Amino acid sequence: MRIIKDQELVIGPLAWREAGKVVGLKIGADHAVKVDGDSRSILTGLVHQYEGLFGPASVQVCRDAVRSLLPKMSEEDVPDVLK
Amino acid sequence: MGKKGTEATTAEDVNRELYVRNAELAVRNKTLSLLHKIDDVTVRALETDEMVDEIVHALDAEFSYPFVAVGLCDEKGRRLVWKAFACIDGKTCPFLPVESMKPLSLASRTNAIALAIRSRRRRVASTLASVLSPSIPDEHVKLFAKSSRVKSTLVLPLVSGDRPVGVLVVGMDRSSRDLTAYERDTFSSLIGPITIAIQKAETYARLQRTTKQLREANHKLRALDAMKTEFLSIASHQLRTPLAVMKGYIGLLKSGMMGPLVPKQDETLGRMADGTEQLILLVNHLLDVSRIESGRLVMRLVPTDIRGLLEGVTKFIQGKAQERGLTLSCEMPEVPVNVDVDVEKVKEVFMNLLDNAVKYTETGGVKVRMWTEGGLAKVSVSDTGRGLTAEDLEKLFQKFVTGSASKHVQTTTGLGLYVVRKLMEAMGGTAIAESQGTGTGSTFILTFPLKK
Repeated sequence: MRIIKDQELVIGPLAWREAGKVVGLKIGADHAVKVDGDSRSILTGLVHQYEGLFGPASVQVCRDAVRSLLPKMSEEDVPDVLK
Repeated sequence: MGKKGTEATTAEDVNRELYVRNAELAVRNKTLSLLHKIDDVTVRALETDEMVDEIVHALDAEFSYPFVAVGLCDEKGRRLVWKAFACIDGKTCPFLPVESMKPLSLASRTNAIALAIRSRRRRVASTLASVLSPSIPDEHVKLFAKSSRVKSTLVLPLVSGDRPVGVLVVGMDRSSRDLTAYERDTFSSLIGPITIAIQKAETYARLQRTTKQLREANHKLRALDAMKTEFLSIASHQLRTPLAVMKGYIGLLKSGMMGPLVPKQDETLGRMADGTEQLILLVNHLLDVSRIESGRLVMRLVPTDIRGLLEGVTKFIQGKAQERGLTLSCEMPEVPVNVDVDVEKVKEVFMNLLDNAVKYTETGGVKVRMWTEGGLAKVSVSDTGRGLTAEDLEKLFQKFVTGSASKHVQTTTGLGLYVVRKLMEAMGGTAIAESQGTGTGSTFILTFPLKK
């Protein structure tokens, strides 16, 4: 959710549309996010979705978005791309 | 690669470049939005404590840091006093409230805050103890380090010019190398406005303190002034009676009614008479001043043709003028000049001015003139005396102020002209002085509103 919101600040509503294309991620009409499956691989898929369109700078935005959350997460839940 | 392939690559590059720029703008937008929030706090809050408390809570809420704190340097720059401390989880801060945290010596060689302030450079501390000790007990530091999971602490000195104002301390649960672009932008943009806001709040606090001190001092001065006025009034009344008795007996002795006098006795009695007269004048002036200042001056205004009053006083002073070899002339209208005055007070005013004119003139004479002009009755007393400097003219009607020529006369209290002006004002009139300077003589002009 934090990643999509920060991407929205950069690219606007497109951030939600692109997130909707990630397998296992369902975006509701009110931008409610539902995760269906392994959260680690869904997160990786989300980061790659943006990276495919906008390159490495978009990965940095994803990392910055969750930076303050990482210390609170267990190591195995954090995808390598966000470390 | 074909033309289409090249175009696609170019479009992708442009797209990515635009993204980079947009990402930078997004960071700037977030920073500006936070700055706006902080600015709102600094405009709203006038007290330092309230303001820094709101700032640290705003930062803590925005970035979810384990803790954010602000400390301010004392006036001598020797100690840092903690002003605000925000924790994500208040329960893990057993050393709060912030008032219970001990001030920190800025002379410390090990504390990261003292080092950052002295060097005016930001520092990163890897242990909490090097930041918070000895402000909080070691056992609390250990407990807090464990529960808050602080991995590094950013110490950002707040400096105005070259003067350290305080410090912003940010405890993070990650390495300081992991700062996001937003965080870096925020810290570099925020330090200046926070420093200015703190200075503004401190100036306001100082102003409040000074105003309070001035108000208290003013209150004390008023009380002292009232006591002084009361004392003067009582003392003057007590002095007047024995002085009147002395004056009477000196007069009797000098007249020879109590036996003939040898020349030396006569001369001595003359000096005693002068001294007594000076004392009586001083006491009368002091009584007038105490009445004026205590608001007990009572005016009994009655319609009066003031020509007679001026004539009477002029005649009274004539003898003294002749003794000093001076001429004294009086020019008055032939028609009555009716004004509402307190007869006794007007006589006192005329007496003061004419007596002064004779006293301060060594050769030549004194001219008294009365005329009417524009609904006013005017009286001028001009002399060929020592004149007045510009400085004299500015201060002459103030209490206990004497003109530059006063060193040449013996009987002066510094109160006569103050009393003259106050009495004239109480009767709706004015008193002013004019002179072209030293050696040119001077003119005192009184105005009274004519009775319609």
